Amino acid sequence: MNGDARLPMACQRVDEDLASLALGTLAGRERARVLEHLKGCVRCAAEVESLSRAGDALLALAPESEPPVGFELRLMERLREETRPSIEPRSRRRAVLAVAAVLIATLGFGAEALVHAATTSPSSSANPRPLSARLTANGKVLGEVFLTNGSPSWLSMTVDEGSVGGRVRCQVVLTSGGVKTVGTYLLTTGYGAWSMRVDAPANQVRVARLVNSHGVVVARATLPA
Amino acid sequence: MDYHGAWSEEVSDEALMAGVAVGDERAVLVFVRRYQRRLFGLALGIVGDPGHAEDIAQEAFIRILRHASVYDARRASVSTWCLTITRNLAIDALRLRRAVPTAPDDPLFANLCAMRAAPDDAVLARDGVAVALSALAELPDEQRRAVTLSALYGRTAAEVAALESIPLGTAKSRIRLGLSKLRQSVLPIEAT
Ligand SMILES: [Zn+2]
Repeated sequence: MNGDARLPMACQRVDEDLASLALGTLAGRERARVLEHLKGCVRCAAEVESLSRAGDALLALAPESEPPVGFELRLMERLREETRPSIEPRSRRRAVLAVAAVLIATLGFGAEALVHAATTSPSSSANPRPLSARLTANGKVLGEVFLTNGSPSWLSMTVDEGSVGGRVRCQVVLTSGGVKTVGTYLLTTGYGAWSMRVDAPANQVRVARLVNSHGVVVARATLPA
Repeated sequence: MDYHGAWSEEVSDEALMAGVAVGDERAVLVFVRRYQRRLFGLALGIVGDPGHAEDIAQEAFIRILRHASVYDARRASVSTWCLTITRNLAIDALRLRRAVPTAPDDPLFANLCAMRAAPDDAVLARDGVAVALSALAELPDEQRRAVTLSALYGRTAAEVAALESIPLGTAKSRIRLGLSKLRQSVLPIEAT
């Protein structure tokens, strides 16, 4: 049952398995054997590549099914647990926003990790747990701020109290006293969640704050040192 | 970096992905709602157990959201990218589990094999569905079954052999020949 007789012997020996490899269903020793061959064979490697794309195209026909009730909430819960084990949600709205922030922070890690992988500096992502702080105005809690470790770090902010509105700038104040604006957002109904890259190491970020269009600081969060 | 929260059901996958990549909360929710039936359905077709399929679909979402910023539209459509991630997770998750091969029991499988009951208009209008369907229709029945079992339901060649009561070599040939033929219909000529 070998493939095309015009192929070199080595290729004939793996040819039947190339489709399974392309579809992800080849495992164990067979898979290792085929992968070994692909290292040295441009023809078979190209064949697997195009068979993969054909298989991927078929996925457009994949079956659909309604997930079990609560799927979405459990997904959010899982995202939350992954990065930050102890949040006590005060309300559902708040919970969703806090979750969104963690989810956003997770995104940040992903990008960061990939950048590290690409630039071969694997050492600096040691502690992926974000710092967090309450975002407050006049003693009232408006939301939360999360800051990932590392450089650059990622800042996520949620506002869920409803009293701040309009266009706001998000700024960070560094230990050096310097101020950086990291994003501008529209708080339509006083609710929002964003994530932004901070071009400074996390341990140099002292304060995150929101500034309104008149330049007035409307909310601030002091991050733990 | 200014997002106004105008994400709706109509926004394109690519625009949605851009929103997801910058961490827009509403984009994430629209995205999850748009794809949860497809990711869960694909996982369920492969692993067969709803609880296990949910775990896989959730894990797929977590990976997709985490890597949204490196999604490359030149390489694959958003849906293909997401479905590929889900399929690979489902197959990996199953590798050590299934002792006895089982046939997919959803009606779509039977319909695809028999090439009857066209999908509804909404599904048909989706990117790539019509092309994939007509490519599948051109295959001989036995190759269509083998390819469908492998590509959409994650069955290995050995499982296809058992399910179809044919020798392993025959199952491998059907998958290989079927997928090669299909490739000619679904891929642009210059790519093959
Ligand atoms: Zn070869």
